[in-house]
Amino acid sequence: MSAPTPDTPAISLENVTVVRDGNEVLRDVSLDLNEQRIAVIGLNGSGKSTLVRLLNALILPTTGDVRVGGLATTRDAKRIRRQVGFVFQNPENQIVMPLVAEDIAFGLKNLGLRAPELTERVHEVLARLGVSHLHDREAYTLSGGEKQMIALASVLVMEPSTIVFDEPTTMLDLRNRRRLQQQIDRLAQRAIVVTHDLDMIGDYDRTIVVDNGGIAFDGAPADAVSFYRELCA
Amino acid sequence: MIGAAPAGGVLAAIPAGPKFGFLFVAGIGAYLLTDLVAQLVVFAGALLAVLLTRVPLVRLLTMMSGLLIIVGVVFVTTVVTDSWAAATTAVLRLLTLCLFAYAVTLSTRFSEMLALFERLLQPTRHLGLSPARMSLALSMTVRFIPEIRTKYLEVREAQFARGRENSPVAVIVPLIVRTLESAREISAAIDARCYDTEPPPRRPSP
Repeated sequence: MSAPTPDTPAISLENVTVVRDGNEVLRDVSLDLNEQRIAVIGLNGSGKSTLVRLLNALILPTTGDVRVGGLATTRDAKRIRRQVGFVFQNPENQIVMPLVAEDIAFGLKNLGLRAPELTERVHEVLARLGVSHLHDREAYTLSGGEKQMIALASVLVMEPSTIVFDEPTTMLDLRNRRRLQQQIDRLAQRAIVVTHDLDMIGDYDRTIVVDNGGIAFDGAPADAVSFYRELCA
Repeated sequence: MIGAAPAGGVLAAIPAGPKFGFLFVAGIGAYLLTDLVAQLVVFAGALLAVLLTRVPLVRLLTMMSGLLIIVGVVFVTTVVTDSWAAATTAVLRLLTLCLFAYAVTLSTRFSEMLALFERLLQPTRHLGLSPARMSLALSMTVRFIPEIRTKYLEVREAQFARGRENSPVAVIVPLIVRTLESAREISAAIDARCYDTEPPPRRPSP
């Protein structure tokens, strides 16, 4: 394990290949991810989700290395998961406890936090997202937009340094999409967002286009979107 | 109702342990009582306990509608096969126990029940089992029952739309597939939220 230095990239992928069921899902990908807002776009099945799932050890590389703050995902998965939060496409699968407050506390309990601090942090994160009224609600009674807010709250409460969003707006209507987008814009953390919503990423620092298991384009959002449109044509 | 936020009332202030302990003792006690007056007094106590949860009467009656049908069947069957007195005793015992159970579950947070469950299971650690994992499994069962029901209704609706109204296989197979897909995502979500698991072994190079 190497300690991070000022020159250590926040997240780095080095010659990463992922093989699943005999297919190369990602092929020899190398990236350093340091920017605050990074978008990942690409066609369905291009390898976007696999790429971002590597970042908090949900998937391990078949060959190559993924490092977060100098820690390798193959050796330090638990520590990395404290640093990199993950918001899934379908919040229904992310909410694991019956009540909203219990669900947000789930990750904190896993870190061994005790009741007073735990309760305070749950209240704080709900207030921050403007959804304090959902505190005692049963998870299955929430709307899609509310579920996505609770999924975000459950990640934010862990205070990670990076949050990965895997197509977070896909299941949302326009109003909830805007609300979530505003919340992402306000985050102090680094956000890496996989999306098909090209309007969302206009002012991002960097956009990566994934195609056929490789990085097809990496640069400014406007150029990346033009490239992607040509790719889809 | 398990999984629900508890109703208010004085019973909510009592810890889960004593409440479930009382329920256990009441379960045995109700079957030891043979005097009808004593049974009626305990039944009245159970009724009062449910009312103390401050759950609206309409909601209570809706929740108990299934129970009342079962009680009716038990009463009629016992009258036919035994006597009025035996039927009254059987029905009073059943109602008393169910009312006490409603009072306890309606006034206890699910998280408190889980904590109690986990404490009671602590001795199983010596058998190599994990109370925390069993508790999580129970919690997730409660959490996902409504979701699976929703999925079932969606699949059934889709099959109806395709004109397959009486085909259980056409409903069950997609439901199982969708549930398994969800299970895989839920498992990833639990890992992502720092649950105490290690990543899967690294796949060998092709």
